[in-house]
Amino acid sequence: MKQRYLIGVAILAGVALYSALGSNALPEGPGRDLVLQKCQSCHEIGFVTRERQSRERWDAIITEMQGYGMRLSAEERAVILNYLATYLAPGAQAPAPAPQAQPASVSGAQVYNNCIGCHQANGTGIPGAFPPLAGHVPSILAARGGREWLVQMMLYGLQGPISVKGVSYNGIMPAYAHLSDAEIAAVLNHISTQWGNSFPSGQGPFTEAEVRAQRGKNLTAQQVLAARQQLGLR
Amino acid sequence: MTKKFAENAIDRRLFLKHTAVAGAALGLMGRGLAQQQPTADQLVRGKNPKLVVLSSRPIVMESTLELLASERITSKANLFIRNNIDLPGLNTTEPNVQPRWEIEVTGLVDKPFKITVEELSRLPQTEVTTVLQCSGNGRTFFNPRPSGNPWTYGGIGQVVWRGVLLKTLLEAKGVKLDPRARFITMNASTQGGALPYEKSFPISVMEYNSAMIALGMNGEPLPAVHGGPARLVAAGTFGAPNVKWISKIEFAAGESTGSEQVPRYRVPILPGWNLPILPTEPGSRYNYTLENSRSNWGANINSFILSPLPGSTVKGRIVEVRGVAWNDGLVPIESIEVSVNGGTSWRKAIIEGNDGKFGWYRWVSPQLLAPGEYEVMARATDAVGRTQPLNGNIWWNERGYEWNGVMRVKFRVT
Repeated sequence: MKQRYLIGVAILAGVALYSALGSNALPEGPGRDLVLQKCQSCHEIGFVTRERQSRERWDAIITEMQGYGMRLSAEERAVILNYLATYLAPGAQAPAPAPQAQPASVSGAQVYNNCIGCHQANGTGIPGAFPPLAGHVPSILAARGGREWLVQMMLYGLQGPISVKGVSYNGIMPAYAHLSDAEIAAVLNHISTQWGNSFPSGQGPFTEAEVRAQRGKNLTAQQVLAARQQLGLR
Repeated sequence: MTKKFAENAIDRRLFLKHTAVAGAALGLMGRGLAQQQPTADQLVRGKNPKLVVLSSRPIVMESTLELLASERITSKANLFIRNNIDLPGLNTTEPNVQPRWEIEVTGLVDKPFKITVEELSRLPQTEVTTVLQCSGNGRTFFNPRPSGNPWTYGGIGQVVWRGVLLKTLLEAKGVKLDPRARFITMNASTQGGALPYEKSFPISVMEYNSAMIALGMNGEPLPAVHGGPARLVAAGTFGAPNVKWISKIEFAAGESTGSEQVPRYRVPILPGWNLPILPTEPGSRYNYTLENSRSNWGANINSFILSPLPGSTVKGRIVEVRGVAWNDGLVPIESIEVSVNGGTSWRKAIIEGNDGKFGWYRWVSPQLLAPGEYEVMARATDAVGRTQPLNGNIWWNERGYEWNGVMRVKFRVT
């Protein structure tokens, strides 16, 4: 009897898990990048993608978010409202799962598009709030264990006080384990080669295998912080 | 670029406050089962991986009926989380040891003061067992689906708080309230650049709800992710105004006018009418003001069936239907009725016991059931006749708060 209970529960949990994951995809359409950039500065995109609301309700939600500090020009507001009211309207279907394993099509710049909200297009971050990547990633790469650590930071996030170039930060970098190995490798290669950054001599681009090797370690964001302290960064 | 960003995206000052998290990245664009979503234990150290993650930023996760059924007092590993803000470093069930953490008590009092957690811990402590529930719990059962976190039943737990009653605190400090004080407005810490969070309670929670600054939970120091080192707790109320990481308590003549107080965490009312929630057309808009709506304060009466679990198969013919019921604690729960025939007839369940007036009433209803498919319903009623609607959607409201429709559980008897 107990076994049957458990099977029933497992099936329910499976369904719940599937819908939770499926609801996070943001459909392609004009304004999508703007939605990603604006909304993710404060909260994960799941708050948006799982909603199915009328234009009127979306309008009110945007106004509420502006009350929390979101700055939008009138044009941007119109673009975002149109996107949400069109692609996340009542009854709109979640986009079909993207086909797996097409690493050739993954562009690091494309993936990085979504890091811009915090780390900025030019990789400078925002002093005191979000650390820079420009001029900082190479020193991590050069540290012993630095490459592995960058992958871990992407997979498991980072939480707690750090210092970068003499400026203190005490924020949260969320985990991005839901990105594919190819996407994580691509975005790491992007931030390692942009804004004057380059790989230390003797190092090549990140590979999917390198990312895969760090999966399954189930580190916490605090453990990633502790690992960063072992890198001997200045 | 920084400047341009600040101008374009968000007010810079606010933005810096929003440090909370490096946003960005492809967000949570899960693309089906092949990709991983961080699990509860990966996001918050010490949480049960069986909790269902609703958001990783800010942290939102719900428990399950199975976990709720498994323990009388909900353990810190299994307790839901609805955080509006993330304080850096505090996504853990371990204590947040900060004895010099300071709470400011101010506003309409004769002598404003500050007090540290260390000093609070030396004042007389009170324990109270309460049902802590997110006012959005059950939101997914509203139709059409309101905006907000997709809670099913798991945004709830029964916990034992330990702390200093606000009454005790004011007495100990020899501080008197101004008679104009009608509300308590509370602020969470913005430590580490966290977003501000402000909520108000009516001052009556000091008298009727054992309002306290809690320093402990379930016999341990308050877990960091649940508001440690100190949070406000008012027994019998919904979670939202039980402000975590509390840094300021202000006695005021009016309630906060911040976004967390209005339009969020409110349901429509017709002022002066004796109706818990003004029914509105499902799917319609409502222009929330402090006057035409009320805050999610006192918990409404509700009951859950915890056994059998939905979709399970149990052995007949004697089937014990079990569950819990609760309300705001102002009057006792008088009955829980159970129906196995779609509400045609109801039979009173046996109330086995309760954990104080703010805790769960545990009930059991033995049923004689032949093999087949069943749907069981449970309905609680308290001493003043408050009960649950058969159709919970009657309370539809655009943010989906305070669902208390009669729960229906389908199961099979062999």
